[in-house]
Amino acid sequence: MLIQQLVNGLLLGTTFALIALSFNLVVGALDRLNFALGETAMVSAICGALFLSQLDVPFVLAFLAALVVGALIAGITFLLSFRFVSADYHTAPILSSLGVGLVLTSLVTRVLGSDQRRVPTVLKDVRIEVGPLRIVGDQLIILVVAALMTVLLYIFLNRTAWGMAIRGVSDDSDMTGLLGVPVQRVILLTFVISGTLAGASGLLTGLSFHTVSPFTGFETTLTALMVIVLGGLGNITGGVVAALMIGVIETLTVAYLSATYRDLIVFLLVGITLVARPQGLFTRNTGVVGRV
Amino acid sequence: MADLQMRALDITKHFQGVAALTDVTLEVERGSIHGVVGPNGAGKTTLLNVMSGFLSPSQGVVELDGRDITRLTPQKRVPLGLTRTFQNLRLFGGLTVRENVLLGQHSHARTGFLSLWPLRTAGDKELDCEADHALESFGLTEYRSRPAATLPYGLQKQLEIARAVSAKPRLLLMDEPAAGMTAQERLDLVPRIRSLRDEGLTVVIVEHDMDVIATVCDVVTVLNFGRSLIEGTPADALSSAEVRTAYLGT
Amino acid sequence: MDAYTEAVVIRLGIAILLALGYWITAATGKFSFGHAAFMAIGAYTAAILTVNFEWSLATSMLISGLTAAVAGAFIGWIALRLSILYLAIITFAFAEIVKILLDSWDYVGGASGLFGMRGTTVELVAMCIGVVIVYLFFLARSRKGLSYEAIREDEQAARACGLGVTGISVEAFAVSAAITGVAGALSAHETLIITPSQFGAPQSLLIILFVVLGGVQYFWGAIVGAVVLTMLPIWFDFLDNYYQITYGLLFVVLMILRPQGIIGRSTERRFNLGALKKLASSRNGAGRDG
Repeated sequence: MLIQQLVNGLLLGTTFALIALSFNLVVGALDRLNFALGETAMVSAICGALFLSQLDVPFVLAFLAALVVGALIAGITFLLSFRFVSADYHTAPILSSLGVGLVLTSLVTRVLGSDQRRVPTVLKDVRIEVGPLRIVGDQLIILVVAALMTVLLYIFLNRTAWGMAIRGVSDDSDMTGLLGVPVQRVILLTFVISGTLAGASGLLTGLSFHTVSPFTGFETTLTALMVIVLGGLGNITGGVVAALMIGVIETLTVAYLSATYRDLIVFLLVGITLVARPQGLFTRNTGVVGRV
Repeated sequence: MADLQMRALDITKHFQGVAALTDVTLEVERGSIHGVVGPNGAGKTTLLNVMSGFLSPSQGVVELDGRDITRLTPQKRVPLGLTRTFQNLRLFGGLTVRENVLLGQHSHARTGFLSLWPLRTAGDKELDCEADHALESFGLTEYRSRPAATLPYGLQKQLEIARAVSAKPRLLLMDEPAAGMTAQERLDLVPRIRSLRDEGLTVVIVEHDMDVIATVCDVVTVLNFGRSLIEGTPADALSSAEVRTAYLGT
Repeated sequence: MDAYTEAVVIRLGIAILLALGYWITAATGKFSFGHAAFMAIGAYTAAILTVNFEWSLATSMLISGLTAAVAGAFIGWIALRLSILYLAIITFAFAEIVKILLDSWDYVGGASGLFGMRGTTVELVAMCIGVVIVYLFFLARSRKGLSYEAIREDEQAARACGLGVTGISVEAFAVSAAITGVAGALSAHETLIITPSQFGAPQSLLIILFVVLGGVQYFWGAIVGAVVLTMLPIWFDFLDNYYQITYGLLFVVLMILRPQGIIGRSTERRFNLGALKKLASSRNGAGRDG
C-alpha cells in the first residue's frame, strides 16, 4: 500500500510544516530560536482536547481556543525570554525559552495531571475512497486546515503591510527600524503568529493520533528543529518542503522497516545535510556560516 | 614597475543579488599609505572585508606579496602579515587593556597545551616586553589592568590599533580610524599613522573623512556605487570633477 | 564518614566535575544543550569495560574520557563551524540520538539498562576534581585560556587577531566532553545501574544551569553553581516535587537579571533591566557599509 503510506506521510508532514513555519518565523525575525514552541503546541493541544471532550464544543471553537492559547503563550515567551533579555548574550534566549518550556510542562502536569487526553473523532461519517486509497474525515480536516493556514500565512507575508514589515525585519531590522517600522511590535506580532501556528499544529497532531500527552513538547521541538535544519534555518518554503519530506520518510520507515529506525533515519539525513550542505537543502544563501 | 605588496584584482561582490562592488581593482605599493574614499554605501568597508578575508568575493582575486590569498580565512592572513581594525571598534570589552594587546600577538605566541606549563620561555618573556612596549607607545600603560570597555572612546581606538600592530603585520588595513573621534584626536591620528609607516608598515585606510585622507595618504582610490572612479595623489583625485560630483553632488 | 554522607559527597563531587567540564566549553561562549550525551558515553564505556571485561575502574575512566573526547570533537567539528543556533540544535539532537541508540542496543540492556557497577570512592572523585582544577588553574593563566575568553567576547575580533576560532572551540569542546565523560563513568559506578533515560534533556539542562548560575567568568563560579543546585534539593525536601518548575523559573529569571551568572565582573550595569533597545539591533553580521 505504497500510495496510502505516501498520503499518510504527507498528512503527517502538513502538521510538521505548521510547527516548522512557527519556528522559522522566529528565526527569521530575530535570528533566535524559541525553544518553548514545542511546549506551546502541547499546551494548546491539551486545552483544545479539554474543550472537545469536557465541554463538548464544536471542533471549530476548540481549534480557535488552541490558536488563542498558542498565541498567548508565545507572546508571553517573547516578553520573558527575548524582549527583556540582553541581546549581548546570544545563548540567553535559548536557555530562557527552554526554561519556559520546562515550566509549561510541569505546570500542565501539576494542574491537569499527567494523563493522556483523548481527542474525539470530529467527522465520523466522512471518508473518501479512491481505488485502494482511503482518507477519513479527520485526515481531511488536518489537510485542509494545514494547507489553508500555510496559504494564509504566505498571503499575509507577501500582500499585507504587516506581513511585509515582518519580512523587512527579518532581512535587516536596523534598516527597517530606520524606515519607521515599529520593530518591537512587529517582532511581537511574529511571535504571536508563530504561537498560533504552533497551537494549530499541536491540536491537529492530536487529532491525527486522537490523543495528546503533556510530555510531547520536547519531542515536537526536536522534530521541528530537524525539519528547519533540513530546509535551511529561516527558510520558510524550504521548511514546508522539508516537513513534507520528513513526514513521508518517517511514515515509510515505520511501515516498511521498523519504528525504532524512524528517528534515526531522520537524524542521519539531517546529519549528512549538515556536513554537506549546512545551509539546508533548499537555501542558496552560503552566508550562513558566518552568521551569529 | 612599482613594488606591489597587495593587490585586489577585479573584485566583484554581490549581496543577495545586489552588487556592492563591481570589478574593483586596488594595488597597494609597499611602504605607502593608501586611502580608499567614497560616499556612504560606496563599498569601502566591503572591499576591506574582502581584503582581510571576512568576506569572500563573488569574483576576483586577492594577492599578498604575489601569493593568492583569496580563499584564506582572516586568521590565516594574520601570520602572513595582514591585520585590520574595525569601523565600530571590536575590542574584547570584558578583558583588560593588556590582555587585548596580548591577544594581538596570538600568531607569534605559544598557545598549545604545553603553554599551560607555568615555566616561561625566553620567547614568552620577549612577547611580554613587546606588549608592554606597545602599551607605552600608545599611551595606555596606566590603563593596562582596566577592562577595555571602560576606556574613553579615543583610547579604545588607540588600543585597537595597538592590538593590530602587536601582530607585527607588514600591512595594516584601517576601517574608518577617524570615525567618532574628536577634532583633536583626528589631528593626533595623522602623525600616528605616519609613524607606523616609518616603522615599515604599509597602511590602507578606508575613510569617510576627507581631511585625514588628504593629509596623510600618498595614493587615493575613490569608490562610488561599488566601482572605482579614479586613483591618484590626494590632490589630483579629490579635485577631479567626477569625484566632486559623486561626493558633493555639485 | 557514614554511608549517607559519603553518597552525598560523591554526588556533590560528580556535580562539580560536570560543572567544571561544561565550564570549559562555556568559557569559549559555546553552549552545548546535550552534554548528558557525553556523560552517557562515558558511563556506558566504563560500565562495559568494568562489568564485561573486568578492567579496573581507573583505566576504564581514562578510556571513557577518550571516547567522549572523540565524540565531542566530532560533534564540535560539525556544529562549531556554523552559528550558535546550529550548535544548540545539533547538540540537542545528538543527545537524543545517543539515547535512542542506547535504548535499542541489547548488548547494554536496552531501555532496562546496565547494572553491577561499583567502585566509585570519595578519594577517586576528589582526585579527578583535583586534576581538573589544576588544569583549569593553569588554563586561566595561559594564553590558551585568554583565547577562550577572546572568542567568547567577540569572534570577529578574535579572527582579526589571528585566532583559529573553530579549531580552538572544537578543542575546548572535546576537552569539556572528556571531563563530562569521566564524570559519567564515576556516576555510573556510584548508582550501580544506568539506563538511557537518566541521560536525557533534564540532565543536560541541569549541567547548563550549574554553569549559568555560577557564571562563565571564573571556573570556581561553576563549582558554586554545582554545590548550590545539588545541595538545595537535599536541604529542602519539598523542592524535590517542584524542581522542574524551580529550574525553569531560575533560567528565565537569571537570563533577564544576570545573564552573565551570579559570579563575575561585568562591564555593564549590575542588573540588565534597561538593555531593551539593543534587542532589535542584535544582528551584527560583518559586512556592508553602514
